[in-house]
Amino acid sequence: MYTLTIVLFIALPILTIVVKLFDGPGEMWDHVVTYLMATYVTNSLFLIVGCTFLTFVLGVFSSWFVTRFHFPFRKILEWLLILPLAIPSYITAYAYAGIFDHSGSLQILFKTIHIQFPRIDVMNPVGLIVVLSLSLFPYVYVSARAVFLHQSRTLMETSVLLGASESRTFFRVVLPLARPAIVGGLVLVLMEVLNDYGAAKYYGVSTFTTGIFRSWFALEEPETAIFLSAILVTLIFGLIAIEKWQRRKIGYVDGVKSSKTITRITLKGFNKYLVCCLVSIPAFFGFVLPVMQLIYWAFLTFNSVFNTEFFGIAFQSLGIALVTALLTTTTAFFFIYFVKWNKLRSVRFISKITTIGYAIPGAVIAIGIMIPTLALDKYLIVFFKSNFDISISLLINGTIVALVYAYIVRFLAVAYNPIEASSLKIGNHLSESSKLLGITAFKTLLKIELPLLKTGFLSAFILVFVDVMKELPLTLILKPYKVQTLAVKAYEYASDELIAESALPSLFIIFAGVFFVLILNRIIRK
Amino acid sequence: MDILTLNNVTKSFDNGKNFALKEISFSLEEGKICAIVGESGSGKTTLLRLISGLETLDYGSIAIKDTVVSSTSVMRTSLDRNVGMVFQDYALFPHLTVSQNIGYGIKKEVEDKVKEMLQLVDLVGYENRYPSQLSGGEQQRIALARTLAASPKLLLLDEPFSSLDASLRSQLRSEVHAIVKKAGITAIFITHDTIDAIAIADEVIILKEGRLLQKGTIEELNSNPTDSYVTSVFSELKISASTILKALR
Repeated sequence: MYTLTIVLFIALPILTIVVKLFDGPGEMWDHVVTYLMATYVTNSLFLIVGCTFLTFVLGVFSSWFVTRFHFPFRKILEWLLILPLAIPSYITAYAYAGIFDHSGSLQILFKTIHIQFPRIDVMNPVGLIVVLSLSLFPYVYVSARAVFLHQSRTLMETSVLLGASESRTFFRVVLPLARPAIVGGLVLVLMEVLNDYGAAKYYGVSTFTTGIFRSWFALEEPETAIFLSAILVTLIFGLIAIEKWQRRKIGYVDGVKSSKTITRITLKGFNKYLVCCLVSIPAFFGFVLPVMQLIYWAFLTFNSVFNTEFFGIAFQSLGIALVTALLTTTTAFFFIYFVKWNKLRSVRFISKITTIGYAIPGAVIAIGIMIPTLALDKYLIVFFKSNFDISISLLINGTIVALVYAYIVRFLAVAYNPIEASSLKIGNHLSESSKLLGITAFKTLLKIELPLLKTGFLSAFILVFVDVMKELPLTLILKPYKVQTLAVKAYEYASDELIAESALPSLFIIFAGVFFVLILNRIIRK
Repeated sequence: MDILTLNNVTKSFDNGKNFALKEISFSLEEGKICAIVGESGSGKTTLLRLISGLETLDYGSIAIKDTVVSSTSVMRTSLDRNVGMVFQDYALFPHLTVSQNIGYGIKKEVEDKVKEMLQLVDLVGYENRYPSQLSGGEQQRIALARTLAASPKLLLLDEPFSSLDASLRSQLRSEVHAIVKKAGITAIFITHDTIDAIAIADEVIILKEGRLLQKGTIEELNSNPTDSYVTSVFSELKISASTILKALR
């Protein structure tokens, strides 16, 4: 019963989509299938293939270089390579559109030094692949680096002693052993690619997610949006299934971690500068350059954008992110301890259910929540009118409640994982000892477990906070009319061709992200 | 003829603050099996890593077959030294099959060599298994086969029996001894267990706190120890080394 409640809470959006599928497609479905579907499928698959290749190259090689070699600025670069995660991909997309525009920064620069340089058009599927990859490669970088850092030194030394070169050792030993982690990182990239709305919309590339918005808002046909959502979710679950399958297939790799981890080689001469330059490329183009462009724009538009309205939006954005982060971490904690205390057998099942939300694109979650909450609101309006003759307005839909609920569903996995990891690290012996000493379960939780879970809690809180600050598609659909977030404001400016004005709200999101990621790093190191 | 000569080999860590090895000198005759015995932190593993070329030395020189491979001015690669090493955890590549592991370092006639090595370690029929499907003893024999397949001049074994249980340990001692002798290769292995040394080695080197205390045959060390530590190493066994030697061989 309890398990069912938890499942319903999280899986409601998906169940809604599944149930609504039985209503059949809308009138525009044939039009979508005939004229648009091929473009959605082609573009989405093209993005998947392109981003997989490019994020793999950028993420894997940069992580290998910073893990394996000593070279100038390695420590700074090791950090900079994570920071593109602090920039939402749609903001990176705006920055690059501005850099390569007719009257963009690049053209201004070349004109200043009197050089004729042909304009590079990035507003196409290839440009979108490059921009999304520059923004998302840190998912692969972080996953691969974690494995490389713990790679067994003896395996590598054995390979060298058996006559293999550094590159052969990398391709035949290191890379195959890191495959599960790298594929895990790539799956996260692909989920983000399929979730993206802002960048694809701005670059004029039609994907499943832009199709969902178009069907819902432009064609005003929710049924078609639901059918597209169903296809998108099937595609994502297909990707997850492939990832699980390949993980099972190479289960023999488990337990490779060694206490003797690899030692860094100090590069000398030309090689150290070459590697430094290579590693600088993703860091520069993924973080430094877009931020420089945004800072330039922010200077140009500071007086018109930085006003009391901006303060109000920033305040609302921070408030929503803080409240959501608090509620999501509390919900995750409740789920974990509820399962633990009740010794539910369905632990693995529940932990899997919580991760569903992160796999489903924000637009799909928004639609999956909008439909049942609208039905509930309609029921409540009729109920109060007929029973108490009271006229009420919408209580859930179009309010902050539906928005925060959707955020919780989407980001529960983000909070669940660090808290669960901390909880597993503590184990059961401490709480069992406390209970054997006559302390109640609740008091044990307060005095023993909560203080020890502090790191997991803070990590979860920060990760959810940063994700909510960046979130766009879900917020666009579910946000109350009067509520505004920095992400939506940046999107609105860019959509209204006021791209320079989008810089200040974008920078605020980025700096909040960087600030909290730095804090998170400190917490983890402690 | 000597295959390995160490001359005043010195190695320190943390910029000279901690000495791992101090002025180690010895030579090893071709075809012999030598055991390096010492407690944890005595410098055994560092010595093996210096010989294999995985570490650089601070002072002194190492020569293999009269060619200096390590000194303050020379540092030959591990490949140039033609030295094979079996690590304590065997370091089998978990994603490669037994035959792929054995064939990893071979460039010509791979299949024939793999067959030959599997026959040597008595594991014919295990070609397509993965390391995780092997017992601890089988893993060790495959690690040995892989190293021997590359035809090294010198075989180094890092605590080869430390991760095995007592019964398997005694079985593997005689097996490793037989395989190495059959392959006719010179070998150095390190151990903290004196019985390992007695069971396998033709010569024993006793290390303590980075210094070489004594080198000789088991009988020489037992009958004529030059240091109280060497005496204690054998006195702990309660019965004479020659008795154990007879029983084990």
